[in-house]
Amino acid sequence: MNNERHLWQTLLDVEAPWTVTDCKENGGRRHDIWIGLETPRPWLGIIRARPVPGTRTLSWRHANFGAWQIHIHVQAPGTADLSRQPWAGEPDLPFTRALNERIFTFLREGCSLQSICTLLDLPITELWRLRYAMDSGRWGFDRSPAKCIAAHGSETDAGAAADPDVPDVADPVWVALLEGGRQLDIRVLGLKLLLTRLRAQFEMISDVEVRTLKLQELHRYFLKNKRLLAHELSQIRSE
Amino acid sequence: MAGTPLEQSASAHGSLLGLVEAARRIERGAFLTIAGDEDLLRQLPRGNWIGGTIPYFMAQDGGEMSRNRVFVSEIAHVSPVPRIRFHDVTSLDRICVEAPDNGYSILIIPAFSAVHSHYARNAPGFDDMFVKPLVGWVSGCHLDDIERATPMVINGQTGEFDSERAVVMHVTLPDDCYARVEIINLLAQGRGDDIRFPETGFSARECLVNGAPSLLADYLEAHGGDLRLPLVADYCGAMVNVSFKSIDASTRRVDFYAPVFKDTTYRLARRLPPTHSSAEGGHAAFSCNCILNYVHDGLEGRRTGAFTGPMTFGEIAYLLLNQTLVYLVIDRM
Repeated sequence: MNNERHLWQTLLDVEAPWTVTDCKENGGRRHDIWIGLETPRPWLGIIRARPVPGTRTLSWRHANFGAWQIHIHVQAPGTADLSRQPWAGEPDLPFTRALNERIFTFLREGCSLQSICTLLDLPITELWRLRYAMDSGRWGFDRSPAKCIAAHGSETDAGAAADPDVPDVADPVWVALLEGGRQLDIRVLGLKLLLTRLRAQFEMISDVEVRTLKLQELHRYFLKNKRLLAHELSQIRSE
Repeated sequence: MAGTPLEQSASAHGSLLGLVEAARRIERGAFLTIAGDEDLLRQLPRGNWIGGTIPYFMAQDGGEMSRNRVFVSEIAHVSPVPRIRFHDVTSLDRICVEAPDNGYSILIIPAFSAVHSHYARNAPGFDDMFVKPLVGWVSGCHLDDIERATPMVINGQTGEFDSERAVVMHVTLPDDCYARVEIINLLAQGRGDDIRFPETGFSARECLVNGAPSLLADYLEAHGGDLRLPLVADYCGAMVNVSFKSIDASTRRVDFYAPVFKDTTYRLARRLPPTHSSAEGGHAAFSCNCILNYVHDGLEGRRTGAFTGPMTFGEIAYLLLNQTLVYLVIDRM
């Protein structure tokens, strides 16, 4: 393996049986990296012929290295399990899991899609594809053990200071509102429209992290509009 | 503690004015929204205004079509100075993010444009949508000119007319005030069948009626075929209409003035008794109503309580609405 491929293999944390098969610099900032299965090594001078199932090439945008935009192309049999590889993503989505994790972190902190595009140098159209997949329950965050702990309540809405008028984001009332188990007499049009949208999304989303994101969205709405929501908050606090 | 609605002055409430008086208000430096016939709007001077083409109004004396007067509303809070800008389809999703933390935004979109379609379909997912108050309307034209006229919006500061971009004015409010968006819909979900659609869109052939595959055109004809009564969705108690435009006899395609959403349940509408509150209308810092209400309900020469404003090709209360009166009230703590 040449030095450049070896370097990318290390940077991307590509481990056997996967290997970096090619890499190209395209126009200075864009780097395309191809990853595939290692060529079988001879055993006592013999390579056993093995059936190769249909190979497909999948492409994703990966997290940048500095100002370099990294595009990864994985050539793999259709049966290959890529679900645990940070340098791979979902077949119909634009980003690798490593990049998804960064995006998700920004979303959890309340960054707008446009801000995330600027910070990560991403096209807005591709970020919309990811957001749509999240909102429609088609995409769930592939979490590490640390993320699982966060998702189960040890971490609350980091961006929101405690407010005596609005229950904490970990309060079960928010889940009850989004699951429809808790009904409110709602006077505020914006809340009626937002709650309808979030409930429809919540029903489709099974991923814990994405559901947490929706709870934070509702909680932030109440924090931001608490002057308008006196009637609704009095019902929530009366429980 | 809830706030108290601020009484709006006559100029904030809006009225139909001749060109000379409208120009005088612009030259005085006021921040204005102006609705009118395109020929008239082109004669106005540059200044702090946004506008859209439409010659139908709910004026101070009742519903009226006018090609020699424009409807002018003045923004009451101008410190800090309201911001005006155009948005195309690539930037429209930032509209709420760019809105002030405490204030409201007035958006005008040209009818039948890509930005109109984009907003109608995607606004529910825009960043900060529903968090910051957003109202507005869709510009149009005289109904006799609908085949040949091009609806426009105007940035009065630059004098630009545009048929493919939306124009917005972001207004910041003092800390002791906040804006509240309200709608009045004289239609509600009927007690009939649940109707759902396989795709989001401005037209549909197939639908599910109580879960059973059906052709929407057949269903409508079997239920009286009165296209004045829209589809209505219940958003946690807010009734949101999707008005019928037409049924294509050959393809059996039904066209709408706003999109139906695939994750939403609709029913045909039933009428409610009129409930225009004069008191609330007197507090409105912005209001608009639908051209379909003007036509279907025969509003020419008739009043809708104290509400005035343009009669538009679509109303915006966060989402694009049809056959709905939209208004905005500013409350003081």
